[in-house]
Amino acid sequence: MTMKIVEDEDRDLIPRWRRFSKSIGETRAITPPSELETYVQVISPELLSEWKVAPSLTLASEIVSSAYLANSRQPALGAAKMVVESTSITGLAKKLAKEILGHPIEPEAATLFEEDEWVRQVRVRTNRYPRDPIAWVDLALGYVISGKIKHAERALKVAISLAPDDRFVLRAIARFYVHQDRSDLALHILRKSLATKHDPWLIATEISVCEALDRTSSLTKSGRTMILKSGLSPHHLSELSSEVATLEYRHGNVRNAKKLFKTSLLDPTENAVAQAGWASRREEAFTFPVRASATGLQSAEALAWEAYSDSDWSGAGDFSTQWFKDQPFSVRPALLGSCAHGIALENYDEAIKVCEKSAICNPNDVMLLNNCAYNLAMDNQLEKAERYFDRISGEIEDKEKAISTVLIATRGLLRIRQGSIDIGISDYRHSIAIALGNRDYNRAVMAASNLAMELKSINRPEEARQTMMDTLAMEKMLDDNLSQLVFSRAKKRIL
Amino acid sequence: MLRPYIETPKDKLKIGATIGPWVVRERLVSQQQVVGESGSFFSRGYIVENDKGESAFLKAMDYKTAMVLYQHLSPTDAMLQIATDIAFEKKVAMHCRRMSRVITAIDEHTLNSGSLDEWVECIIFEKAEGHIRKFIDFSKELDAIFILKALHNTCVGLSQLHTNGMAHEDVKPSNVMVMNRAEKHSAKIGDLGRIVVKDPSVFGLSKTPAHFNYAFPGDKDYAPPEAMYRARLDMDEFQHRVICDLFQFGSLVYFCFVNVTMPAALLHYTHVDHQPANKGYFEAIPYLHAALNEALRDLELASPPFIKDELVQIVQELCNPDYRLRGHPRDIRGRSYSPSLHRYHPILNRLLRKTTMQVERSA
Repeated sequence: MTMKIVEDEDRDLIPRWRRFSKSIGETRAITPPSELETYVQVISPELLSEWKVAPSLTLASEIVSSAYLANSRQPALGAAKMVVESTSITGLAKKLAKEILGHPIEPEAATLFEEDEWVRQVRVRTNRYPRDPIAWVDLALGYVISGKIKHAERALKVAISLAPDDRFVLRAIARFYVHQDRSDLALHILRKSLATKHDPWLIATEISVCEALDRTSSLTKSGRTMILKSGLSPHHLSELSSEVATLEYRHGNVRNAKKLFKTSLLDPTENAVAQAGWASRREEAFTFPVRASATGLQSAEALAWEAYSDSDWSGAGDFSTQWFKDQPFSVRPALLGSCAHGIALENYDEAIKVCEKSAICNPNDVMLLNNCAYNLAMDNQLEKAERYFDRISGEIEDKEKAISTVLIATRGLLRIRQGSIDIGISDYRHSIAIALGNRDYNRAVMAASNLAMELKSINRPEEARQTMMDTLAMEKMLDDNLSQLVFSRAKKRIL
Repeated sequence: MLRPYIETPKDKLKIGATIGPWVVRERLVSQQQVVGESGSFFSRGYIVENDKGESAFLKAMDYKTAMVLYQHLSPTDAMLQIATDIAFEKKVAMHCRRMSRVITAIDEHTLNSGSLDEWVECIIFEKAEGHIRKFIDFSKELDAIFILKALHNTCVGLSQLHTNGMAHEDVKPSNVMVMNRAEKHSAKIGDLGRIVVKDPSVFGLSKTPAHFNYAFPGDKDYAPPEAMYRARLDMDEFQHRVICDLFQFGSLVYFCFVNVTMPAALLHYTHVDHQPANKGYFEAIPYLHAALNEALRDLELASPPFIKDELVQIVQELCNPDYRLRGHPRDIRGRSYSPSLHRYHPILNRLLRKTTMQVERSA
């Protein structure tokens, strides 16, 4: 198995967690009510007959409300016009009247808010009306992004107590606990809800949480039956099909998995597209039109990985930034983004921005801390880099070999830039040796190339040249785009 | 669409005609009907006067108009139903005579000449100046004292009905009657035509009025969310009818300040995927809470700053989209679930005093 520089990790359909305003599509009813007739069908005749004889602004605003409920514009045009033209009526009444007159609706200012302002607004919402579970979930998201995990958990607990069977709330809470490495709690809450057994979205979530815990879900069977027999719309079944497909693939049943992935892409969610993209990068038999779906649904994750595998570095950077903005608490877009911006494009400012922001809500992620330190060191912000590097807990040498290869190389970089050149060089050489011992040529070449560049920058061109010459033999073993890029760039600059 | 209006016996009382001690002085056109009319064109209003020169409002109803409502029944059943409806309204009106904040019936008469088709049933009520809509002038500065006084009186009126085992079911601006604005700013709740009673046997009727069979008999424009979503409710029927009154009263408070009815505001802030055509009531509740939250923001902006927090609190409790949680927290907490408007009398009174002081201070 080859070892990529940016790990395209094992992936499950853990729900996305976005602001409510961006998640409405995921909250649709599975079976809409059979009664389609609107409750209010006509504008109140009492109001209209009164309007004919004695029109007034108060009456006009009542007619506007009635017309809005009845979705009937024509008889209310005069009243709506009076409300719109009035200088004393503002706010909602005017907005409804404008809708009746067919005036263009001004975009909500809220969508333009920056994150901090958005969180402030959401806090106002929970203060004003504490029974609104949706506001609590949004607030929790804001807290997670700001790294206030305990506050977020408290907010989610309020939300779940207010709406224990709501899909949006349950999926958010599942996402939160999985992110906090407390998937068992996520599972407990999901299983406690009466909705989970009957809702394909929640069944998909339950199965994916079980997978995160290495457990078998008791709902897999009913999930399969639901896909085959329920007759639900493909959109409702998208994530469930995708998660069951992932299970089939893991169990080696590629044919079934392929069929299910195709079902998941009939009317997919963005997450299902990303999952299909992940699967197709792993298995040649999976040839799905992922790019088209990803573009249509703006699946930044799928597009970022596509760009990465096409060595389209600016695309990988841009899409990973988009992916990061969509899922700011997830560490994966930050890892990919920091590599694309920092290592590939040498845009350290952008890489540092992504890393530091992600480190707020992922304060203990080893690779993220490493990437922070690396990019800061490359930008000569050594003190800050050192601070991030020191936050990595445990013995570096005791970690998984691929990780300790990277960490030791970063330590080498820091030492060299701090003036402890020999210790730094020895760290680099140690890192290369571990990588070679692990047959991880991508990382070995990466470390060697970086060492050579550092040697060149401290005016030791011969040693730099020699390091590159020693590495040349490994070139044909490289199978990762990023290490190929770094190696060829170093060759060009040194040899 | 409005049906073309065809005059029936109730519309044909002559000016100067005598009905008991009352003389007909004026026939009201629709927009002038001070009491009565719930949009069904089932009744006609007149101003009458007695020999002491006291004016009153006469609500005339006939069988001919009512027959249109019951075309689906056999003529005998329809007649029986109409007789029940009219008898019920008369009895209710007389029953409420001692309630200080409910429009009082003074007298009742039947003009029974000719066939039943020609009969006219009359209820004579105390005369109001008009409904609250006529006195809230959105084009001028908000008269918060007048509005709060009217709301307080309406709240007391509804509580009086509830205490006597009656739910109004049709609380809306046109049913809040201003009695004497110049002197007292007092208001009463009027139009008892949609009232539902807890124990119909009190009125000694062999049949229940037709509107008792409706989940929500009042004006649909003011219906609570559970009615709009046509939810099947697990609750004592009369208790739910009282809860409907709570929602409608909350909606009235909202309308007086925001100029939009609460059902329209909720619909506006509820995404189409969560509206009645696309989601069941219980599934939609979390999103209706979110919609109410948005609607409350409008109330916050439109209310006088010194009472906005209390108004938001009142409306959020009374317009709670989840009918099981509607009302004052102390009434719905614990085992003795008994939502009512009683706790809102002192709150509205306090707001009224606060506003009066504020206005005096700034004057």
